[in-house]
Amino acid sequence: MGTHMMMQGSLSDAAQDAHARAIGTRHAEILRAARLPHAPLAMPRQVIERPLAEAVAQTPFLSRLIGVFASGIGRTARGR
Amino acid sequence: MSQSTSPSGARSARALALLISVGLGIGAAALFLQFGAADGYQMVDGVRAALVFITTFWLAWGAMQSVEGLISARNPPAYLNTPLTTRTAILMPVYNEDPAVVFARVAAMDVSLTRLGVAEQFDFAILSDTQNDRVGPEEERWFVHLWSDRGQDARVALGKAPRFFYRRRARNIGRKAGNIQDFFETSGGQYDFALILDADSLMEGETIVEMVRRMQAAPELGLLQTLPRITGARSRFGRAMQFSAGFYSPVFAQGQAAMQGVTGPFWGHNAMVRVRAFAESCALPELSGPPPFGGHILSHDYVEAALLARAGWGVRLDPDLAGSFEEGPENMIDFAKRDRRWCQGNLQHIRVISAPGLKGWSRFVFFQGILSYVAPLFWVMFLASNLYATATAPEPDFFPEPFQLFPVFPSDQTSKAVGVAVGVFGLLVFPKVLILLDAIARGRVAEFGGTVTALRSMITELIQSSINAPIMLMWQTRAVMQVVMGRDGGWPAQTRGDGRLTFPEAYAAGWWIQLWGIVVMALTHSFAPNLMLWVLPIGVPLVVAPLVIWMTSKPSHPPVFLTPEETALPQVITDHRRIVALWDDTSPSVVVPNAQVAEIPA
Repeated sequence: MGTHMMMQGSLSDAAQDAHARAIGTRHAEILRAARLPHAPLAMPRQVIERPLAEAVAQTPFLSRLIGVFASGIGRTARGR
Repeated sequence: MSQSTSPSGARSARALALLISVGLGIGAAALFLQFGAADGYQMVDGVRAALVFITTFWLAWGAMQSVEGLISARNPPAYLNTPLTTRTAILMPVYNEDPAVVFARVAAMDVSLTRLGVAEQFDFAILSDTQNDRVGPEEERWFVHLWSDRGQDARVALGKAPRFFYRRRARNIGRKAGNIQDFFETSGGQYDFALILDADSLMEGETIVEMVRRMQAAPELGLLQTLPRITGARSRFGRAMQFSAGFYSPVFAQGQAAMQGVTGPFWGHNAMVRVRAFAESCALPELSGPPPFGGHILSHDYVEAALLARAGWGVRLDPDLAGSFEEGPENMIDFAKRDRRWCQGNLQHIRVISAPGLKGWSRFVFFQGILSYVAPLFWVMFLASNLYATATAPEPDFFPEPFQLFPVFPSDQTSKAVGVAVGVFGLLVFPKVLILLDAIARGRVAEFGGTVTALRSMITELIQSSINAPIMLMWQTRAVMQVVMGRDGGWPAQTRGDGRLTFPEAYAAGWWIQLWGIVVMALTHSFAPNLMLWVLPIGVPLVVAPLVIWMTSKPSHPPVFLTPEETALPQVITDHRRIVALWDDTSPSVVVPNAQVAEIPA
């Protein structure tokens, strides 16, 4: 009786293992099929850092704006 | 609502907004100076007037967006009917999310596209950056479920390429921007357009198709941004935000679109990009130096929009595109966590504002983002300088001249300070009232439960946001200080769910705010008691901050804050809920080889 139960248990375990392996294999197949398509596109790295002084010098409007702002503060300060 | 304005129209809109905002700022500062300097001019009066200028200008600039939105509002153009001749990838980046809920969104959008008969033109790619070893395998299991659900086996058996892809990066280099870039560098060549989503995004198939048609019709357009509506909120805080996003945001967004023209925004999700344009212009480098100012760019979306514009591509916001949804934070703590990340991201733009070749407007947008986080500091400084000025004000001298017969009373300029305060309050309320009146005139108010319900929602939201504002101000101030002192906030995963807080949780998050409230009230009482009445609207919410945080996380129910999406659930959200419920009954572990999981009908 005991041996019979043990055999039943091992058969059940074996069936479960086989089932789990089948699921694992199936999942792996799907994940392989679902890999991103291979169609590479180059993305050139952009330049986004530049010292502020250089930016101001090369942007006349910004340069003028900062100049007007700075001289305005100076005039106000002298007025006080 | 119309599409974006022409470049000359945008310039006029900007000039008008700038002129009025600067004018109001100067007017408020001049009035305040008369009040502040009534007892003789001191240095602190100049500082206070300057702070009044900055804060009033900032509020007026926000108010002008709504005015511009109302001025430029037109009937929305009819949706296009041109054939789809392009291929689009729908990208769903995920990072430690609940895979069942997120993948059900993918399924719901595919159902929507299938219903329109255009699904063949679209592929879905789930781009996982999940670093949690428990969530990773769950994602794989749920992806297998999605694959079976959407009938991919049958498709592959017929010799067709699958339409659903899944990729998980071992290391999340460059975070979301790096995740998207990795997709473009791997698979970008296969697609004309890419729809970039967030894990909580949902879009109707009709909207996605219309975006493709608009991109096809405008070859110079590099990016098309929609205005996502917040849905699914349950708490008082979440539903108030949902109402605001539904009722006010379309008008503000229309104003923004009018001012920005084709140098528009990218908000990182619910937007379509032209793959070639994005690949050519948007590979972001790491900034030199350590975080928070160096390293990976946190708020990459603003930078990408600026780079597209720099390369000559149009970046457009079309607020008329309905059927674009997202979820919002459900409580103040989650909002503050997200805001901490946004704060660091926006302040990091100080490093990018001088990037070579950027359009002037792009630089202004960076400046605007920085100012939006620095502005609370100006309010705190204004409060502190007023306390200081009042505490150190000289005693009135009624007999300034020797042997003077009659006393000279100092001129009372209090009415001018009251005028400034009323004006500032007006700038906060005026746009909302205008939008309500416009909604009544156009009949839009019916979608929000009618005039009475919308008015009730507006007043409730106004009261709630007035109480929340000082608490938010403290969180923002702390966030700015942390960033300035070099503390990196990292990249925490977003909290989803109903967001309900216990009082101990609220207290743990808000005790220090309460402490500041007590300090502010005590200082005012001791050194400037005549300012107490002015300080109360700020001081009281601070003192009761934990209670406010806790109370606003509690559930809220209609009719107050009713939105159109609550009245009639959009189809794609209905589909999503149905799929989630269906999947709840089907554990992904029972997916067996060749098993046929019932496909969700289109």
